[in-house]
Amino acid sequence: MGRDDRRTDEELLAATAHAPDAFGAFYRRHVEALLGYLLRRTARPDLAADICAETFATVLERIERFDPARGSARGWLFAIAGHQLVDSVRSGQVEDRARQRLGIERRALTDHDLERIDALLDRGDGDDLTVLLAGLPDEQRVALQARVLDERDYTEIAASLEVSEAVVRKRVSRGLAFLRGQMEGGRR
Amino acid sequence: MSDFIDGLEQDLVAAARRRTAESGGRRRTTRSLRTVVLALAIAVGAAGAAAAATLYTLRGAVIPAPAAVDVPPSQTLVPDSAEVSRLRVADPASGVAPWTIRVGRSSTGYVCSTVGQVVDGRFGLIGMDGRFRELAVGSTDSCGQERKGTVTLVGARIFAAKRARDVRTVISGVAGDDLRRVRLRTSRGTSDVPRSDGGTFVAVFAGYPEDVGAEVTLTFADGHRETEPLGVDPSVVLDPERGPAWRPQGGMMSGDARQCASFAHARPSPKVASSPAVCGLLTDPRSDGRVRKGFFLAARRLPPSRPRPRTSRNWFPGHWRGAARTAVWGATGDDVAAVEVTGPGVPRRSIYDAERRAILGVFPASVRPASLTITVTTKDGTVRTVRGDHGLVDEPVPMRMPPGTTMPGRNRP
Repeated sequence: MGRDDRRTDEELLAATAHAPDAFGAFYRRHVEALLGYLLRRTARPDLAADICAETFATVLERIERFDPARGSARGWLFAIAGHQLVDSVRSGQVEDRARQRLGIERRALTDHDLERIDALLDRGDGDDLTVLLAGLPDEQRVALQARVLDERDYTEIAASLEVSEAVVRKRVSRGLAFLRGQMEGGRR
Repeated sequence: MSDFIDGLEQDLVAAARRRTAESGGRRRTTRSLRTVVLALAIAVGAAGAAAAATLYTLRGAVIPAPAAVDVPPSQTLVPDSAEVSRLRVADPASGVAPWTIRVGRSSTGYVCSTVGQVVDGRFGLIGMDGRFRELAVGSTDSCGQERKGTVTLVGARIFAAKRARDVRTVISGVAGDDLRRVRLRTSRGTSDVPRSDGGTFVAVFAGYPEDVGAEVTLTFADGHRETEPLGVDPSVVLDPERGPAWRPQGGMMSGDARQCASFAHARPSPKVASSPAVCGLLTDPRSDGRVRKGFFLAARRLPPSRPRPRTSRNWFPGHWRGAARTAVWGATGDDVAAVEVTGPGVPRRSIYDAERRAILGVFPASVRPASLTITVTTKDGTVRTVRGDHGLVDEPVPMRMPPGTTMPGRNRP
């Protein structure tokens, strides 16, 4: 697991200005979820891919405008994608202005690409942990991610977050209780 | 991973690297024009020629909502809760369906809103092809926690379009039953915004919010007011001929001690108008460059010229690309407190963005640059008055580097 994986989305976006690879980490973390989201709304892998590319280009272009106080980076990414999608429906074609300005050319999709994107449709089983995590308050999400996904011990997490171990345990416990509720609710 | 997914990552990281290289790592955080919906939480959340646009012709008549798996509960709309407001606000173009807002509740109790148009009682959007498509109930623009006695949601949803006349900005919000009045102020005038139940409001105009300096002021039952600067930013300058707004740009060339300034349309577009770069010295080239003092500026009439495609590689163009304008632009050091301009037909006004230390005023081409008087006030109270160009340095000035350091990409064996 790379160092980037331990940084929050917000930290990755903030780091992009001086460490461009951080944007790659942000991209890798969300690209499949975003493609799946767009595929489920468009039912066309070519459209999903094109809107996804324009969305990430837009995020990169506007990265200085991102304000964590107004919502999560993931939420911002998906909101931009949602707007891109609706704008594409309205205008009848997918924009590529952000890619043009960044010097990124549209990429041709191979059959393998299309199959790969199509396969993401089957992943939507309702228990996508990243989606569930996105619904948590930041402090619980960070604690849960560090403890459950990154398998770090409580002492280490407490030191990195500069809080007591008891606080970390409480955040993890509350986060897990929330997730349990969500997953049970989703299956009803 | 697929070729597409991997290739896009490479493209994006390469673009991020170019941006970092161009800014020299000095890219600063800019304040956002609040042109997307403000909310506590806003998540909703080919085989073919590479250069061709992907046509999006929706087969169905409904723009689908996101799947439940893709949106957290705070943004998952409870279907029965969604209600289309009674508001109907005319589109600026005649014969186009009116705009309104749909409001509902998320499964966690957040207030969610979506703007759209109404045709035969159905809620959706009319595309550039003239076809109406319903917006599925689960489609939301934004969700936020309800706040009593104040604004819960307010924002400007921009519907972009290839042709400028097709661009729409829809300002909308939800501010509760205590809302008494909403005023929309733009460079075109001030007007009351229609309201309805639950303090919902909608206004629509052609163009982008920053081009008209859009700002809404909400007045509540207890008399308090809240102003949302949806298209106002200290760095954005309105165009005197009602064209796209302008924004100053600044930076330094690699190895050059000069600071340079130019200006361009505030909203990036493939063919953005942009000014020539002018440069001056704000630091002593023999110093470490930390102390910046003084100012430089250009006051010129810029003849009409066709905008050209702009890329990250020609960020500082050598000459004007745009409609004819007279402009004053430049940059200052940390010691400048205010820069004002006045002249025949030009009432005294500030042309200074103190946060970015940028000077920018744009006037009709009929204004003679030599007729403009520019007053610069420094923090110690000193006032200087200049006309025409001031403090420009045309030739590069080598930057003094601390011993043992080299410029990136230079002096390498």
